[in-house]
Amino acid sequence: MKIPLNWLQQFISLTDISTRQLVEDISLAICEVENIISQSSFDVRVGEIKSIKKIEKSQKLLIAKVDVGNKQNISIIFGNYFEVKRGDRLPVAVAPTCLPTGLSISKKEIVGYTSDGMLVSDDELGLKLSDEGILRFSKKHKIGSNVLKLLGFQDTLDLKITPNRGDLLSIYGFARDLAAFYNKKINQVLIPALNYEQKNISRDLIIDLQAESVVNRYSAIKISGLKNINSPDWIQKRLLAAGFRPINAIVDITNYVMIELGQPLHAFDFEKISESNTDRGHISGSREIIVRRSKLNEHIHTLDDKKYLLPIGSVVIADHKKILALAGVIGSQNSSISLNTTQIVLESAIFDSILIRQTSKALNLITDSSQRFERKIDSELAVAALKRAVQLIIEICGGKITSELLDLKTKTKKIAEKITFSLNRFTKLSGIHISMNNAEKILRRLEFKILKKSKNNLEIVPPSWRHDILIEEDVFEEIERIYGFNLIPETLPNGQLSFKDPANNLKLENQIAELARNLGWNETLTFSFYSEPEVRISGIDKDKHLKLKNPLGPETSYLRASLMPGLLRTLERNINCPTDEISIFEIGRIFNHENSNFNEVLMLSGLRVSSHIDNNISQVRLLIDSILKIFNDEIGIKANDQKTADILVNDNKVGKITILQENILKSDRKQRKGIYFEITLEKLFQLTKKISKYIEQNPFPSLNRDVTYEIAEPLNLDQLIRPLSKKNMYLIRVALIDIFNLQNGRAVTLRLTYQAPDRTLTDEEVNNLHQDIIKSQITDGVKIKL
Amino acid sequence: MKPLLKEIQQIREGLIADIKSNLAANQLKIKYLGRKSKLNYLLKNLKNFSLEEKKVFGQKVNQLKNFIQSEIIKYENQNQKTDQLIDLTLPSAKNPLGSTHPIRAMQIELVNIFSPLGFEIASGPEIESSWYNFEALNIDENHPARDDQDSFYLDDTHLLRTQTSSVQLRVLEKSKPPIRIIAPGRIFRRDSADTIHTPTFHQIEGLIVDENVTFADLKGILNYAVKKIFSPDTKTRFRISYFPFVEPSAEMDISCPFCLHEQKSCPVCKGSSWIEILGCGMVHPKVLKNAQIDPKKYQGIAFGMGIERPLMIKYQIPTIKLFYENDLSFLNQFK
Repeated sequence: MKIPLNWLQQFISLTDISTRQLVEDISLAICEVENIISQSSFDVRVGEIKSIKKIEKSQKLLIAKVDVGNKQNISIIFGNYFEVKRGDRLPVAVAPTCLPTGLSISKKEIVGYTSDGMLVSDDELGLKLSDEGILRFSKKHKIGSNVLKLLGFQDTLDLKITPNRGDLLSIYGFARDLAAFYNKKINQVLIPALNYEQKNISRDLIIDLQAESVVNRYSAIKISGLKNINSPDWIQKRLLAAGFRPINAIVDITNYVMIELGQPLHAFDFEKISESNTDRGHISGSREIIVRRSKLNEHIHTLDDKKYLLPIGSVVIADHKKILALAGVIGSQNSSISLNTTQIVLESAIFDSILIRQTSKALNLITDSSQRFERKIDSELAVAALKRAVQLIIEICGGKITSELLDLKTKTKKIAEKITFSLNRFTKLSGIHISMNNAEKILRRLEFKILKKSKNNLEIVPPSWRHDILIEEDVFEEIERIYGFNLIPETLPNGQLSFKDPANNLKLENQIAELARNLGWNETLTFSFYSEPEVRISGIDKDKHLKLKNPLGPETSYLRASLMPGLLRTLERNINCPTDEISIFEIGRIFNHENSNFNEVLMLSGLRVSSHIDNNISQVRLLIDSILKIFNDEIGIKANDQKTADILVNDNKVGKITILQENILKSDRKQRKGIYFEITLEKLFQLTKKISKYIEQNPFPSLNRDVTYEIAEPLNLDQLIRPLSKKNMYLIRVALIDIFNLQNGRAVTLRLTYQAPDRTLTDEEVNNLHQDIIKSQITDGVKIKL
Repeated sequence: MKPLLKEIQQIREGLIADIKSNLAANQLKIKYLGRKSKLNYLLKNLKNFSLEEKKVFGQKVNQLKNFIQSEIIKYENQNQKTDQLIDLTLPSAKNPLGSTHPIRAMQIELVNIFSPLGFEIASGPEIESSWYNFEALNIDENHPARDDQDSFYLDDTHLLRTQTSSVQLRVLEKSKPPIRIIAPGRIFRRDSADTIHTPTFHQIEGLIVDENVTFADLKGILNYAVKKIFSPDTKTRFRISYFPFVEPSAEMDISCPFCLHEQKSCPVCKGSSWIEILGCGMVHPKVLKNAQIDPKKYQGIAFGMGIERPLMIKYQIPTIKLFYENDLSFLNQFK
């Protein structure tokens, strides 16, 4: 919502408040101020044409040297739409800048010449002030002066009104709240009585209100004998400052009154409404406006020249042949006002907020009107706004009222709910101690009706425009914002602390991330979605993936069922980083389908790339072992083949390791190798061993014995080591000492450590045990090297 | 007496000769200090002497022992110097420190700030029913507030949560007041990526429900938190706002940490000297009712803050996209 300050000051005097203070007060107590638009936001200057020449290669284009003040001469390329000659003073936009209409101007290269700005026509400026289509300045206007300043354009606040405060979507409504805040007087809008002579009234306008359940009020009036023109300057300038483009007086006035009071209005060209059938008892030449629900396959061709298929059940304003407007949203081209219009029907209605929201949402069509209806209109406003617009139209375009005021109400005026305000409760919730007297004063400033008053309670009714105030807490907010949030004291809560520990894995997750970091891994975070090609890379069935109903684009089509594609994306981005080794990991949730349920699982995935595959494996293994050690000692890696292996905890699969075969590595200049692993953290957390009691230290010495096995490929070390370590209770540790490659296999030296919990083992005992154990592992591919 | 002194002298000479002939240090140890060494023999024989003799001999034998030990150590050190060069400035072989993602680091920092105030950690699913994400929070289907949070849907009733506030009802339903939780997590909005938007980002939610917790307490807690996050001289201000699940609703700004005075050119606060940092308020009675908690007996405060936002302010990170592009040169700055 754009609020020009001079328009605002028509209703409230702000001369004692600086713009800076005003902006701060509004931000704190009313709404966010997104921007202050000032004259200097638009660099449009009075420029004098110094020379003109034709651009050779072009039919229409000319280039001029223009003096724009401050000894600055710029080149402007323009079309020969206007008569421009040396010495003319014209509005010139100096790039880079933008115009009040939103048009942005930048330096441009055109057929080999540079244009440093633009001659600004009325159309581009957004005003229709000259007959010719461009403003001309006389010698008394100084070269270089700001054109918008000359036009009287003043500072405008660009406000972000929250959806609960529909009452602020008008200059008057905003001024009313500001007046309450500053405790100032508000100047009322004078609502004139409708003056018409009975002899002028014809009975040729009929309203048939069918969609009664969603139209709270429908008022209309007919004016004839109009001469539509361009609006006077003051209306045009105010509209432009408020972000509206002036069109013609009748349309401009409907917009003007909407901005001023908040009630959307619509004008139909009476003659463009189809004549109704006389067989329905209507007099010849009469027009019947039908307010009804839309049917299957109805279209509207809107004022802004777009076509929409209407959702069934939205409300349309129609005659018996065609649709004249989509109620509360936008008018149709077929009944629009032109400069030739002489008779109009002016509509002021209150449509149901939910209806308008649904229609606007279904068509993705948000208008100034629909926004206001969605946020609810002051129920008292419809007829007042209509009268205000009639007055302005007749003032500017002449004409006279030629129908009665048709005013159809479907709902009896809702009596606003009473709310009981308790001062004790206010203090208990806010922590503010104010007197009942002060609370009451604030509420009166906001125009609450006080019905009953006792020492601690007020019985109150909110004003008709405050649809957002329904319960006591809403009233508390009103008092707090006017009193000032920043005057509320700062305290710390007392009260009992809770000792329950809600199940949460975040601490474990953090522990793992820290461990990985300590081992040299970089933590990454990627989006939770990916594209169809990445579904294939994930290696997980497309059917198991969850698909978004409304993705932003192909990159967000599927929810990730694996963290791998994201890690590969990260790898690709960093493939040329200077280090040989890249170790990246992500901890995050993946998603999949299971029995038509949505499943989300916390995963750890990592990717390691370097020139040496063995180095990759041992680095990954170091990380996995270290992580599993935090949670549980019983780790195993079971190779399925040369490319994949399972990560086991107590023989439960918790993850996997795979050799990367992705194209990204195939094209790597350094010809590096990659390995990927993932662990389902939720499974791991479930298998976590908790220490319940410490185990007494073993005071007896341990003894080491080494053995070297010769293993034929493709046997995996894990297959040798893991069973070995479970052979005997006195064998407490098996450690890998050395590996070297043989002609067809490997020699592996292991160190076995023996210890008994209750005595010192003798050399002989250990020797025998050791021989038994190491021999038990001899199989086809495994023998002991002597 | 005499032969013993002579023997001691011989042992000394023998050792020096052996050292000169470069006998290995461990062999020297066996020969001169070992079980079968002459020194050991002398020590064993000490007991056969009279008390008077013991005094003199004991001293001599001990001197010999010290002599042997120090000579061997000297010899060992000498050998080492020539055998291998020690360079104490050698670089580490591998595994320099990796990095923690700044978003996790900020989450941990926030948890560490709120935990001592009695907040426990809670969490909820990322795929959420529209009830927990919207309706339970007093945002019904036709509420204009839904427009501000364009959502990714999986079906008619399930979406990717648009706010960590979705955890509020899940916690309120499961536990009885007093409740004091924070819930950090990933959220989703259907926004194309630009300098301040990504379709995925992170928030932390805070919630207290108790019998007497006030708006003044909310201010106290949040002031404390931002002073810890930014600096102790951080100032705050509260502005009116609108979130349907809190009433009153407010937004909190912090004073710009980068410009002490109003500077139009400050890239962080754009000259306003305030930076919006979070939304907060008193829990709406409807939210409590939705969890079968009596709003006449209990009241609550709640706040929700982005995780990326304070990071961007603190480290002057110009675009939120950097967090998700995972450039190692970016990540490695956050140890």
